[in-house]
Amino acid sequence: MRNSTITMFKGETRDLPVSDLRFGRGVEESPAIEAENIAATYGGPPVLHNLNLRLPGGELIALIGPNGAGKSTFFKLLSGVMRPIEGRLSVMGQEVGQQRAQSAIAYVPQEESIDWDFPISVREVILAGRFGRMRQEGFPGRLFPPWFARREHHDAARRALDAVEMLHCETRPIGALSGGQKKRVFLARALAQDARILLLDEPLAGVDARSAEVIFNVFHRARNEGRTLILVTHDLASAEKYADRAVLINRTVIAEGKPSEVLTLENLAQAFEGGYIPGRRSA
Amino acid sequence: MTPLLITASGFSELLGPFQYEFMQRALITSILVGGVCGVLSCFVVLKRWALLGDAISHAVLPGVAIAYLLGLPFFIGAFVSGALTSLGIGVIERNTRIKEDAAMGIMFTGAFALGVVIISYIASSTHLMHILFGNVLGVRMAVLQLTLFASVVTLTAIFLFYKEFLLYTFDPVQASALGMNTAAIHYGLMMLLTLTIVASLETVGIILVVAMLITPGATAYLLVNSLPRMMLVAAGCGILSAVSGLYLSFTFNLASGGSIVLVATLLFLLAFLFGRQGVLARWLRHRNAAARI
Repeated sequence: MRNSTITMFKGETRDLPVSDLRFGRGVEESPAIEAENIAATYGGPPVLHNLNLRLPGGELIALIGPNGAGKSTFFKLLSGVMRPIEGRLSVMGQEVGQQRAQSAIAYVPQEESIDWDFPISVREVILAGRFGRMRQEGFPGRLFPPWFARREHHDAARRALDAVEMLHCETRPIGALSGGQKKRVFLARALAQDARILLLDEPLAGVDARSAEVIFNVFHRARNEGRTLILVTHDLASAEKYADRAVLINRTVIAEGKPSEVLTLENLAQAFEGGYIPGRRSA
Repeated sequence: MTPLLITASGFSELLGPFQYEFMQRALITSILVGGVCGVLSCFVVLKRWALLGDAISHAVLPGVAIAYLLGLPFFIGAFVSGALTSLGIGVIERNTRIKEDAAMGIMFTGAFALGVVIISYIASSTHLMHILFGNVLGVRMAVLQLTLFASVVTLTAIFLFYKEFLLYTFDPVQASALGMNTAAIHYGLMMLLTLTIVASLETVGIILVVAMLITPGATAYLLVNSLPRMMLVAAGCGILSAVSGLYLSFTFNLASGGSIVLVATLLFLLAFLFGRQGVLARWLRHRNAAARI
């Protein structure tokens, strides 16, 4: 990795990897995510409208809202699957498209959106996290199938799998794993990708206690490395306990800030429109 | 002696048909069609595109007919009408309340009917029958060359864009997040499907080509747990079906397309009954589990 020397406080100098320079805390930088007046639609009435959000990097952010609030749509905008019909969305000061091309954004899918009968092994799933990097290499990595990939890609995949304590399952088909193990594998894919922003769609739903522990450890380590993690969750207690920041949305941002200040009964009642609030009595 | 009894003298009899030049052409075409359809069928099965494959195969008919009228190479016409029909499906779906399955049904039967009407007007019914049901025994050199071209293009594309096709099939959102152009992958895969269908027309025919684009993949899906292996097994099943179908067709004077697809179906049934996840294996596991209790 390239290194740059920067001047720290009290005149002390230290070598920092470039990534820390760009993403580390305390260094003047663009926000991880900046949304200005975003609107999005699937053709009908807007799913998101007038959405304004400015999220600093290097945080664990909980995205909370009722079903149909536009949480998944927001992820689709960030991963480039959809484009906003209005407004401006930038990731680390750049267009989403530029960040995508640099493999900076990883997506960890919801359990329901994956076909678990797909004939793919754990190792192949993780290696898919490296596809963006392989494509940046030019010939032959750009064009050859992953089994011809350079050693560094296979090593990165193994390291990521080790980080979620799933190395022993490397050759098993993805469908043979338990719910919590599947989540860990997809988290490992995001780690292998070495993404700066991780979009996690309900990473803790239906996960056993052991997996939840591993997942939280990985979250904290990733955050301490300066990565930004945005997770959709319905678990308000965990969000309050672990997240640095909470964003409450229902088609637009209802509240954003410290979890204890955001997740008040008043705000929740407004976001959930008086309906069922997970983990709380309905207001 | 029936040709199925393999003895020393029977073996040369078994290879006998292939001394004819038309049989050699048919054999090479069958191997190509079986192999390339087998590989593509994996994506059709995994992407749940079975109905789309059916739609495209029917939709190429008017293109073939119009190209014949205009004296153009028929694969150009087939390609254009296949592409226009899939575009039409998208337009209906987006602009009305009609859902995808009905939109496909409307567009491909409409296109197919147009093709049948044009062909009945311009050519004899034997010609129509050949396009509908295929006749591998009558494959001309030009068709063999087209099939070879389509196979090389398709297999090369799948090799070079394996990463894109794999991730688009398995997890399209992540594919997009990694900066892949999912629309291009989608239409690229559809183009390969159209090309393969066109190249298989004279071998198995429009109606049955869709079987070659589903059944080998489905058979392999029951047997293995990785996509590269699935593609190999499916290609093997496709080739085995095509070659034995061709042989049966020659020996017993049967419709070639029908024979090929019947062998493919038989292979699927074998996998269904005796494969790793087949009926027998499930029953044995169930019985063993019961015995342990």
